[in-house]
Amino acid sequence: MKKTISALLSLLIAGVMAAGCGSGDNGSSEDGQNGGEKKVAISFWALNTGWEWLEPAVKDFENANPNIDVELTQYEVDPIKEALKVAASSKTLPDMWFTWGGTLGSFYPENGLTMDLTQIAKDHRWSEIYNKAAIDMSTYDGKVSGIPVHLNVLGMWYSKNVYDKLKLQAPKTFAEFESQLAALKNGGVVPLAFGSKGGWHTMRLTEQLIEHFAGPELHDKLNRLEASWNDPAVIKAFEKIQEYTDKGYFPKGYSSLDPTEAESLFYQEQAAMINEGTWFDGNIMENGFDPNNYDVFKFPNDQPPSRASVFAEMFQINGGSSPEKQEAAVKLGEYLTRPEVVNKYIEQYGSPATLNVNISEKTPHLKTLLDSAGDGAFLITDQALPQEVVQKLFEAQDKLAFHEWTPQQAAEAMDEAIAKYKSK
Amino acid sequence: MEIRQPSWPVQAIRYGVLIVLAVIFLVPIVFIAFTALKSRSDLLTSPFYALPEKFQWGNFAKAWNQGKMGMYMKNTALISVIKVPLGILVEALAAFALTRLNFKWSNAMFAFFLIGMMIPMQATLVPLNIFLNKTHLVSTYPGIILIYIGFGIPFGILILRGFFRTIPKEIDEAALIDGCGDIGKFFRVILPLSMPAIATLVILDFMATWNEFLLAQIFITKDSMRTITTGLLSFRGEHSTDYTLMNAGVLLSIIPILVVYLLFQKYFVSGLTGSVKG
Repeated sequence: MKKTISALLSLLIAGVMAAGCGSGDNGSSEDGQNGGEKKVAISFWALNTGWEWLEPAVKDFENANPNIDVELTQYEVDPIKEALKVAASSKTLPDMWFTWGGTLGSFYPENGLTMDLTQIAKDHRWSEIYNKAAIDMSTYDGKVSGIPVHLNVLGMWYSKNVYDKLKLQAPKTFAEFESQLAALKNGGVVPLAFGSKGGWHTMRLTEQLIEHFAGPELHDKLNRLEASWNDPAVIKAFEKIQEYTDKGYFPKGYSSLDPTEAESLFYQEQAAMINEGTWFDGNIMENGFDPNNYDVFKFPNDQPPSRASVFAEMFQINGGSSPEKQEAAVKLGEYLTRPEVVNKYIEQYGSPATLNVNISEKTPHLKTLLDSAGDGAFLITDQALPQEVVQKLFEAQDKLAFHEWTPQQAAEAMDEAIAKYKSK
Repeated sequence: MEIRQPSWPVQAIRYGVLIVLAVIFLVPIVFIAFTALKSRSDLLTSPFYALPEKFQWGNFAKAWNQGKMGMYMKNTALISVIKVPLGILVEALAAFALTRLNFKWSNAMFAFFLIGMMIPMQATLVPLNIFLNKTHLVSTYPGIILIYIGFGIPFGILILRGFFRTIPKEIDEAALIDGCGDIGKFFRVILPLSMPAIATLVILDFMATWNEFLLAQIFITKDSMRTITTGLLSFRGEHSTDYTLMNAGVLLSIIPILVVYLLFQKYFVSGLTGSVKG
């Protein structure tokens, strides 16, 4: 019996050890020697799904730079946020990582965790390589803190079939937009295919309504928390959300509707418009539809300049990595965003922050949207505001829809949340 | 003694309630199956309760191959077949010591183990990450298995200690007379008598390990080592989700749990009831 037990235990221990061996190397980033030249190994965390181009592009980079080894780890959206937070707290951040802009990306430079790329941006003439809006969105406190990879621009997508049936054309003014909402509703179509579960779908309308009523200057101040949200412009924007809900301009039960379900109403032509971004051509294709049956317009907020909502994505570099690793990471980041590489993978690449690239015919609306940011852009609200204030805005949207709060109360609640955030 | 059959209205109500409950439990699975068998455009243009326009059996093959569900299941199975028996062995040894070795602070030690159940997993992420990085165990199977065993210990001890206490001490004495030491008593007497509790733990532990998400998403960074729950997320992109393949993946992923449950289910209830008697 004892022999059997010993054998069982040995088997289990051997199994654990074998599993450990089977896991391969542990992603060691130790430097080694290669033909006399010092080899640098860098760790790089990025997104996975939708980023299928990244692995071959990194392999191309390694082939072109035999002295640099890249240990690429790809995560899904929520896991990378979680993993970066844990790594930042335990001081185990990789040498380079993907992040979104705004308050998600600002955490790292604000805590001194990123490399200051300002001088490199100047020396390498980034202003000629990347879209200015993307560089601006990667800059915190005057310091360039990330290599811009994507610039996503939002617009109001609509179904050409629905618009043709009701003899409508893309609106040019806010009044026209509102009259179309009524016309669509009367025509038996839900005007806005919004699913507010999670809050951000409706937020994309709220922010444009604020832009319309407040104007660019006040809107920027509101986003920087330099002006009170208990402002007539904000209250008017909130009144519109409530009014549109009451008039049935959103799908029934939209407060708890998943954005994907709202998207399905759009494809079924039961709803006319959806507020999506530069990625949406890809979504339409993946879902088995033809992007040419849809079009997009910039939200007519009647402001000069008429600004689009944008958000950037970037690669940040670890401020604590050795100079050799930082140099290798900059080289990799710049390589992955150079026009030749973007052009090679353009159909999978998404919405590049890089200028002078060839846009694929398969994404017919990408250029229109990127160009629409040329007049000016503001950072999307859920990246512009601190996350706890964003959550209060989402709550306000829901409570407005259910008439639990008046627009005035919602504006006051926002102010309270901001005061609480500032008092920390 | 004659067992009295309940009257027919009682039977009818009983079956009626059971049928309603069965329908409530089955409806989500049916909708998952419908979604798994639709094309993406069919899913987006038809109500979720509608039958697929054309049955897309190929979704399962796509989820298995393109979605790498096969690889993720293999990885999860590898972790589970090591973690579950090893964890239960450790838990059983601890429960044996707490109930049979008669040492002074056994109750206090039992309470100490239970504290482990009260610590939120999220609070341990940073220290565990530091530990795994320092020991070079990040993204290794031994690393994740060690953590899983650690988190499983309090519940395992709770169940097994309760069950071991129901085994009469006279049996220990008989074993002693027959020449068994503590080790022999554990393996030859206590463990065989505790099969219902162990089978219950196998089911619960296997399910917990198979479905674990939080730790796996942080500590397994290599795609080739990912587990099923984190692998399922690969159907979700930054701006869209492929619900058809995700649901096909979900259906595939529950097969092993069903198999384990069916294998051990006859012990399940007696294992749980035995464990709370003590």
